[in-house]
Amino acid sequence: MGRLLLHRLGGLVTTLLLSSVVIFGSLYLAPGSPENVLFGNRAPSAAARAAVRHQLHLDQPLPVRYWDWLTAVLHGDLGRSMVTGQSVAGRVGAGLGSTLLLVALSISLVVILGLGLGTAAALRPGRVDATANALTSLSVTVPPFVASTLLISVFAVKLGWFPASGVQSGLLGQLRGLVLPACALAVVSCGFLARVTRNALREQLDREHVQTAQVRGLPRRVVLRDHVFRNALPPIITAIGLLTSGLFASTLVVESAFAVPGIGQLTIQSVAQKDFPVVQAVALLLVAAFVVCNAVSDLVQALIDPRLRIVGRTT
Amino acid sequence: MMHGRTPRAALPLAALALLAGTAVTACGSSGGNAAKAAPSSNFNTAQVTTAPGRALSSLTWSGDYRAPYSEDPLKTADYPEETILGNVCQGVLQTGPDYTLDPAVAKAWKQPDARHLVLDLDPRAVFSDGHPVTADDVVYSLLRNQDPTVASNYADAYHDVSSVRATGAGQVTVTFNRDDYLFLRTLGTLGGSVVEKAFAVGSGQNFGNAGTGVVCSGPYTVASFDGTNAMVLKRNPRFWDPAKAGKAETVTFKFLADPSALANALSSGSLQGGFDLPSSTIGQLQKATNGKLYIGGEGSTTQNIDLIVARFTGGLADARVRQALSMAIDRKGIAQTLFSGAADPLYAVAGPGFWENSPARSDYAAAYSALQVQPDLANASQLVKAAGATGQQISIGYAAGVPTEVQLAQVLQQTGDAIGLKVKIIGLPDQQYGSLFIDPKARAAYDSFLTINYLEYPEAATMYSSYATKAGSQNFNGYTDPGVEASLLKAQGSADPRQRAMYVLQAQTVLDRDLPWIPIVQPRALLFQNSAVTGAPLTFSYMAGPWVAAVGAP
Repeated sequence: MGRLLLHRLGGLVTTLLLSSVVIFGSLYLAPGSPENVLFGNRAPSAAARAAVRHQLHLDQPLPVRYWDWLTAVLHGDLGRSMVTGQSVAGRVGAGLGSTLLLVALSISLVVILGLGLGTAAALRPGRVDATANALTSLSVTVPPFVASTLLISVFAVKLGWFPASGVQSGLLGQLRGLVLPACALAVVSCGFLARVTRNALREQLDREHVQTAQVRGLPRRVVLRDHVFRNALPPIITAIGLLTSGLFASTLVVESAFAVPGIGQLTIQSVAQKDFPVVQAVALLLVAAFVVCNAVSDLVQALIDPRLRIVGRTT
Repeated sequence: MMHGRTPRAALPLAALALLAGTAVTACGSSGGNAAKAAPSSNFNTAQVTTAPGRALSSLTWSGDYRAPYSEDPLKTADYPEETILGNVCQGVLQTGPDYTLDPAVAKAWKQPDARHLVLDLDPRAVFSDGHPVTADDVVYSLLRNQDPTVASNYADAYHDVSSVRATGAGQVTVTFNRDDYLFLRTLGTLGGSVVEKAFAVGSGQNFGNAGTGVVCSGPYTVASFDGTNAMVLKRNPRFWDPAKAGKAETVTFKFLADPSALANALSSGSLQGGFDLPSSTIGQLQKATNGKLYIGGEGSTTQNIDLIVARFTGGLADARVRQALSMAIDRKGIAQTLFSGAADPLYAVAGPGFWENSPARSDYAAAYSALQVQPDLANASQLVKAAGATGQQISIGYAAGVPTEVQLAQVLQQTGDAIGLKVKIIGLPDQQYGSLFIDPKARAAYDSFLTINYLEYPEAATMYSSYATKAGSQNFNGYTDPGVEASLLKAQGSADPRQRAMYVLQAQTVLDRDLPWIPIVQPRALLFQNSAVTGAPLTFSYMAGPWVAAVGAP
């Protein structure tokens, strides 16, 4: 188990390092420059432009800038925003809480509804299965930005149950403001998870050992718990891991539609402004979220399935 | 001080959704029949502000499409900065809701002759840290505009300023190197804002950064700013002029890029008001029950949307081609469909928004009515033929992130194609679009590009000078005409508004023929204000003055 953890950690560091090079390089290659943002619509004198470029270290070659950035990060300094001069950690930190809460809320909805719907479909063939099938087919075609519009017009504008925009202070206020965005995010993923769950359970239900257990007269509850669910879990957990990491990226759209003060707005703006340190931080955060989610899902699987605990010794 | 662009960092998805909804009707309008009924102005245009408010604990307002880049009033001139920072950093003078110049840091001013402006400072004025505002602070603040390391966005307004000196205790004199009665207006914008010298010098390059901030003498100070989502102002407890003190204890500005998110925030009350609303929000906000959407009349802003000729070589080199394109544009159709009626056709770059309240209104109006023509495709095609430009390619660059510009570019493409030109439209990402206004190399690739332009105050002479004189900061194509140059310099040196108008109109006649810029439409003022608050101005003056101070409880 310890080895698996170490192995995963090494993978995370390598992935982050590689993606940081790619992100830094692609920002560098894209047209435009952060100092133009600062100068607005005014053409500055060559000297003024040079001074600002120097101050922002834009006058140095790419490898030097990357190295400076990397060493600073390794010392725990994410740098300063080129546009506002604020610390990157501060700018990212201001919105991170909301985004994390949004993803947590959303994945909880996905797990509860997706698992529930998938299980119902698997255990009740016929009308329930058909209904669930229809529902999931519909839900996987509703992208978050469409769901946002629908949810706002029904639950915020018509019924007034939830705020249409923004979040209030305090945990309760935050939660209330995040319910609709979380639903908008969850719709697509719910359908996906329900499908995966249904198929995984069906596959197990048809297995010989399950049928043997039923014939032996074990209670249905025990059969389902020990023989069906436990064996069906690996694909479901993999799906949840992938969905969670995908949710981080989808928050950009939903946060903008619901005016949630998360890191979505920051990401969009800083990319447009070529604010290198901020883009690096948020992009790497997304990459890290992806790697961590997958690592966690692997670890959980290893906990469930002892066969997976031995890394690198596949038979 | 003139402003060429408003790159809105809207989501591509949101932009697409909008486009799908309106592009079709926009095309229909060229045929001239699919126009929706325009919402007429819903208040008396003589009214310049909503009723002033009373004390209020907190106010939330839209700070426009993105957070300010800096708190330094000179750093960036765009909607977020100009909407907010004038409430923190007072100008030497201040622009009222009816665009009149009122006393601020200076209690009185006079121009003894055309080359001198004498400012008498108000001895009561103090900065938010308690230090008095001295002549030295004012001189320093104004001269920052000429400091190349500051790279002020208002530097061009100081082009003809030869010196700014303290000429006595509490007196500052500005000297010009040519006759100038236009500079004065700059002092009522962020270009005339006063900052504390000691603090600015001490902060160095960090001055205005969110962590360091500024020290000014306005009715509000910045309480907190996260750089992205919210900027909170609180009433300046040391503000020195009780008559102009703020009504709201705190003012929170939020920055929503997505038009539908903005409309939801306003109609649900999580924002209590906003200016400069995208026209796609009109439908929803007109139905809102928690407040009122104020739609101004023709000429209720100085905003003007134009096609800027980027170079006098290539497809638009021949003036007849430019005239043909201008002649063919269905301005009325564009105003009604692309802007849901919250815009009017524009036949001169400095349209009614620049002279509606001017003492020379009748002169301007007479000249303007002569320019108002119906789109004429037949004659335009003839003109293109006569210029030998049939099949000639012309390119138009536009900001791909601004839904209005996307649709406008498509309409212009159809228009150009209909008169025998071959129009190529190129959507540019915000950064690249922005560089068209800064970098001659960037714009060399295009024949023309779209702009949503404005000037903070209504002065036609300044607007025209910005793009039609050699020194103009927006003279992107190198346009020059001795007659225009001479007329605009004479206008600058005329104290009498009617005499000035005469010179401006001389220049306008030539510019209408030469068309270095092709005017298209002028947006109307759009203000939403929640019923729980009152006091916001109905004019474009929110871009210059400390307007928040008047907003409070009804």
